[in-house]
Amino acid sequence: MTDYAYAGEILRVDLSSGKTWGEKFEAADRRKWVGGAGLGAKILWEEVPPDVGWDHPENRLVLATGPLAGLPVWGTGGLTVVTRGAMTNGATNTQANGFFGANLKYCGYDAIVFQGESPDWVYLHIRDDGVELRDASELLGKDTWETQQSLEKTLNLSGHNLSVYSIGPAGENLVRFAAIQGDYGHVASKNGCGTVMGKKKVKAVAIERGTKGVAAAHPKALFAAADDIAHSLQTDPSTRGLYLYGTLGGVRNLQGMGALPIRNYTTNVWPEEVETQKWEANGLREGFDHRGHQCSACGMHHCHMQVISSGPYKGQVVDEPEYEGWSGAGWTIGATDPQQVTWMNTQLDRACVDVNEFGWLCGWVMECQQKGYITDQDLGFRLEWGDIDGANRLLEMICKREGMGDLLAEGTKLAAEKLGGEAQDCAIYTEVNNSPRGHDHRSRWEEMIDTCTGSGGTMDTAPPVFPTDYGLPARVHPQDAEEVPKHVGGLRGRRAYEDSLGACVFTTRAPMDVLCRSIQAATGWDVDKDEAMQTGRRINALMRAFNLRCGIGPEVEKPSRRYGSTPVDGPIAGVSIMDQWEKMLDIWYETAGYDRETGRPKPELLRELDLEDVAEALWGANV
Amino acid sequence: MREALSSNRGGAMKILKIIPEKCTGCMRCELACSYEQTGTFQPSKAVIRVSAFEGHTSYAPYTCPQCDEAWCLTACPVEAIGISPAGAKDVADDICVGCKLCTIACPYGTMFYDIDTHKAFKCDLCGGNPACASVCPTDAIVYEEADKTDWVGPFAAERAKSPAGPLAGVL
Repeated sequence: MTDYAYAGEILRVDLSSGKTWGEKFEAADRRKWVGGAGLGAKILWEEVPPDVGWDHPENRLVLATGPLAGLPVWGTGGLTVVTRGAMTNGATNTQANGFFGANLKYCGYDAIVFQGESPDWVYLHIRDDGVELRDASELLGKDTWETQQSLEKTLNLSGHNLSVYSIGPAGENLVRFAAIQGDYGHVASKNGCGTVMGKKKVKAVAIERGTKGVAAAHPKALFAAADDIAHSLQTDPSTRGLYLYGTLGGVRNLQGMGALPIRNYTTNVWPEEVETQKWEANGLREGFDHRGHQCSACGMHHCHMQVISSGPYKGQVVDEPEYEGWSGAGWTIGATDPQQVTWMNTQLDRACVDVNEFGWLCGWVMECQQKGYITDQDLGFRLEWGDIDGANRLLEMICKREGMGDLLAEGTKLAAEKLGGEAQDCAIYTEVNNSPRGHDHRSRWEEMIDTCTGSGGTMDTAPPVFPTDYGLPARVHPQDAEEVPKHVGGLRGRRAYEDSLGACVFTTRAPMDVLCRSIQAATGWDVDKDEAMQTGRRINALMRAFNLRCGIGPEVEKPSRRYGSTPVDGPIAGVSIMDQWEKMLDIWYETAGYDRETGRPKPELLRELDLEDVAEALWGANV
Repeated sequence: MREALSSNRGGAMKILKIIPEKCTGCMRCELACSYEQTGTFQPSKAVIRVSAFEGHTSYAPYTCPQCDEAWCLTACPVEAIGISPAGAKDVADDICVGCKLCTIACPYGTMFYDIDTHKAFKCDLCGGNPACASVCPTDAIVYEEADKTDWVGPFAAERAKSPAGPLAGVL
């Protein structure tokens, strides 16, 4: 009875001893932590003490799904990766979709927890109860797509009968912003989660489409709720564009508000020669032969495969870039030909690094070259704005840690700090080392404050989704120093809850009551929007507590000089976020219920969130 | 038994028509189908299956086309397979002895054997309201009247000559 929506077991893998075993996902823990980000946060807090850094064998790498995965709600193949990550050396909460969660649950598991460190390179093969660590020496050096193709051949399986999530050469060589990619185009990219996987010498996880069933408490109601979510996605003005084109619409929309990062934040104005129609959502899609490549049970017209139709890479099959790809592999580095950008985007997925962090790094190197801070001799070649072949050469150097690539493999912040001076001043990063998403956040203040204060390697709250559900205004001015932090702090929790469901945040963008109906039908719980928010806030608070225990506090909650600079042109020229920064933090802390001085969630909040033990750990027994 | 089940046979019937160009490989049909079969979401018990082809860029669901020849029905030694009121070839569980002859006879690979119940099972068109068609988000599966049930042969022959969609001219 209690197993509705859950497989009920967590797969433990000790890489040092090669032992694997199943552990019950206790029913009492399910409603409190849900799955995904919540389950991962609980495991981090309980099992990773402060002296276990990201590269310590006892670090945990949690690959978790959640209650909606494998069920007919759209976009529910979800993977959440939680670990102590290589970028911040703190908590990580990063997602990918595809079929990971569905296939894993049909094999009988809600999550995989890696611990220890393997003496030799291995991949984990799962076929129902048959779980095995296998020799991965044949896969070494292969990129993520080659790895999946190779395992399909070895296991004689095709399509979604096999899910493969792997690291590429970047993760093998411990590039600090290495990612984990699966099922041709789905990337869990943040906080060096692929670096941790590489350190543990796990090349891939290969999950067959298991034979077991996942039950829902009220299956008919689940179909009805899934249809309601789908209807909302198809018709609500805030989601219809995503339904039709995924995130492609972002380029033009964000450009219009000065939030498209162009050439490492040096300008907010499009070059005159750019054909704007090409960059509209429909223009980007019509520029390619393409075909839907959806995640489990998804009806969005979002993820696509496409073929490059002109230029030097003509004929190559690639994954249609997300907005983040058009930005990180394109505008940020001055590249404005969609045919080239889409190729570079897939190169990044295959080598397997975070596309955002690569964009900031490559754009920074380009600007430094232009200004003479990094010479041709330092780099070994000349890298101009928009040079895609050069960017790919840089990627190869980074993945192999060759020449200056060895320094750049440490990510923008560490590389910039090493060079110092004027070079450091033009680097985009956060002091905590969360990689900013591919926007110019100088015009999206909600994302800048969220990225700087986030505890999971990226933003915690993310763009406001149906804020009126929680009594907040539907929209606030993106540069309003009072309303923005109230919005970010006030909606804090919703995203963490979504990240625990085994679903995709593009398909959970429905009114919270509607989303909750699907969770009720799946699990049998009488969960409502307030419980969902409470649960999400619990997860956020625990990740923050984990980071504080690791020594990551409010002193690093700020943007780098360039990231927080004042735009020189475009729609928000002359508007400075840093003039308002301290005030915004004050309001954000107040709204989130955290202590401004120490950064800790306040004891009364922790008690309200049923985190007595955390309150005691952070504040002592008598507070 | 066969006599009784066959009584509605004759005239145009509704079949599951599949339009592979519209399929995005989301596998939602497998989930809905397995729910009809088992009450849980268990694709291994689905009688519609989605195959990938042309690398990982194209997908197509396939299920019993309810073919006129009905080799399964002919091969069954205990006459467990008949024709339902919806026009589907259907297995009577209380007669089936689990010999698997039908799974060998079926040229489409759409007759399955359940290792838990030890019976053959197949698409019964959900009694005339097929779940796969109603949940497909892209209308790649439609339930409509057709004179000819076998669309698979012509489709495969055509597609083998020239891949469509993204890989036209690539493969």
